[in-house]
Amino acid sequence: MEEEMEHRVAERVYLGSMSLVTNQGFSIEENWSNLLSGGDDNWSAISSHDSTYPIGKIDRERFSNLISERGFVDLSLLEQLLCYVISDVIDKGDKLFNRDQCRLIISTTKGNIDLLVSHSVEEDEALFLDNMAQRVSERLGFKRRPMVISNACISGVSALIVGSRLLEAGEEESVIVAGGDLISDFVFSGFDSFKSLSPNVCRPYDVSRDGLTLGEGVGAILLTRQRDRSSGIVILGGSISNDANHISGPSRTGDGLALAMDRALQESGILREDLSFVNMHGTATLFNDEMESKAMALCGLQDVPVNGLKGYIGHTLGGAGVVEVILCAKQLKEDLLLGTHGYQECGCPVPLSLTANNQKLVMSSCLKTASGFGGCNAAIVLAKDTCEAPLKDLKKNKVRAVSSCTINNGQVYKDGLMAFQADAQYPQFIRAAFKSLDAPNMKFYKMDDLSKLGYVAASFLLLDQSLPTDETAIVLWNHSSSLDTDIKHQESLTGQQASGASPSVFVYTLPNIVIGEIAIRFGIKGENNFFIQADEDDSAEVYATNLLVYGRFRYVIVGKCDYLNGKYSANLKLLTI
Amino acid sequence: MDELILTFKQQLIEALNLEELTPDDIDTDAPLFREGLGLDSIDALEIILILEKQYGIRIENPGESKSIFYSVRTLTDYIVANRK
Repeated sequence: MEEEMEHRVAERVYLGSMSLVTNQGFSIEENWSNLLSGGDDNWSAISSHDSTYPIGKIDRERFSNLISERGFVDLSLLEQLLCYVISDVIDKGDKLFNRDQCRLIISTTKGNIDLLVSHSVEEDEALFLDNMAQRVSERLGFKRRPMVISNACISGVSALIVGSRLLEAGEEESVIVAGGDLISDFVFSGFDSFKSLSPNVCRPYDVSRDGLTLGEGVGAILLTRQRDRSSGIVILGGSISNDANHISGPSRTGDGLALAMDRALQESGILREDLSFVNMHGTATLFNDEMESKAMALCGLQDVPVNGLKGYIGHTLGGAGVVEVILCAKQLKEDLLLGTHGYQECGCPVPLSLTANNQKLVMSSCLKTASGFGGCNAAIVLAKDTCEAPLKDLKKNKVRAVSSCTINNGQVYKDGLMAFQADAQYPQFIRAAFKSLDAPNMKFYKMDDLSKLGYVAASFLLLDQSLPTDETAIVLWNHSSSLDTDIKHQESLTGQQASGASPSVFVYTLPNIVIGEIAIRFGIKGENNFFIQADEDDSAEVYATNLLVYGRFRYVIVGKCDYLNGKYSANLKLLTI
Repeated sequence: MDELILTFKQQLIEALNLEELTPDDIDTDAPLFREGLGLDSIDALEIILILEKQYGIRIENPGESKSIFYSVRTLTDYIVANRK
């Protein structure tokens, strides 16, 4: 078969113009100058019933003045911010920018979730993330259907990896990746119930760190194959992995993150000793930072300079990857490594090369990581476009289907044949289908309805399969994200019988948690990605198939998994080369 | 005390979605985490909420309270000693 294999040389992927809005300002330059001096004046406060926390809030008043003449007023605040950064990216680019051709990729965890306080999902289509992206896309005159990646706190890095692969394979001419989330009561109360918020601005990796600080950030980056549009920075590689360990707790070993970092580095062709710095996720929770230091050691990177940026801007959730990659690109261009603000004394099991001070360094490349709920990790390698890294050779494999599983209307079909049926409402039906598998697991009963659906579908799909766990990816998609559980969480806050946020509900208010549950059950540690899209959109399927075509994985589980208000539909396929 | 243990087990089953279990299935003295019921960090947060809402007891850091969270027995002893 070897001689039949087709090859193609990958295209170079340049970061073009970029735009950034955070608590530290409304442009990259303003952010940069505030970060250089620590930005301590740019924090606001947010209170729960018994505590007050700092928060990196985007200045509403300044933004409304900035945007007043642009005519976005009928859009939600997040939509306006996305329009603002995307327009800024286009305006900074050349006049030939082609909106008919450019593909928009939005990364967000919760989109317009604040609308849920007063609107039902039946009343307001803007609650659906793909509709939100469409509203932004149409308003800016884009012609193509936008993509949405909602992959917890690695959403932004995931979206950049997805975008760069589309360009690298020559499937798109240009892509704009825009990411963002705002801090609503919905999100704040959830993190508060997790007891993961620090009463002071967070202190990544420090011995006295006691939790994370939430922040708001919206950023956009043009990805292009044209060198003359380059900002001077390229993406050389990226990788996503899963811990297959726990849906909210970081791995105790760091092996999942280390897998993503190793693979990203390998793909980039950059030697670890040549890396100028590593920008970590650095949430400043006890276990996250501990895990990251172990991952650095597993990758043999403990001597490479490291920093974390959340002491300046907080944790910007679905925007974090885009926001922090923009700041990594800026550090590379300025040959200046920002200090880890708030850091004083190492509080991690593996000592890292960390300092609170800004340092002038001659730079060539960096690795940026992210980790999130659902056990997901992502890593991406950036370099100056003067670097000599060879272009990748993309082999082209043929892809075939191994098995399928469909769950609809009280019936489970495996490979086209009825495998189980029960004439019952969803809770009874899915429980009976689970029991028919004869594989007891107490955790099943703790899952939300979306996760139960995906878990049972994957269990039927993988009956009698033994998969190479590091070589298997999971790419799922739906239209409703985690809205069904989002509604339950919102009711616990503002419903008639509101009893306060519950951690075991809040953790499921991310669509990719179902992937985490499947990964834990089957030990799958390869890429995991969640797309939000309409039924007629085949973006996720094409992307998943290409993971095999270009030899990134040997098996991919791909398909739809959707649950909202008692309506359910799963359709998974196992593909291989 | 027996009544408190029974009530507490019912509250655990409800809050932690231990759907397949009855209070009799939960060994009062067995470890709750990892072994035994195999509870995890999210369950620990839910138990903190039970202590707060049902018994008026606040625990800020479950990591520092491992001995309290060991079993139903240690938790109910703690409730008896600290309830308001």
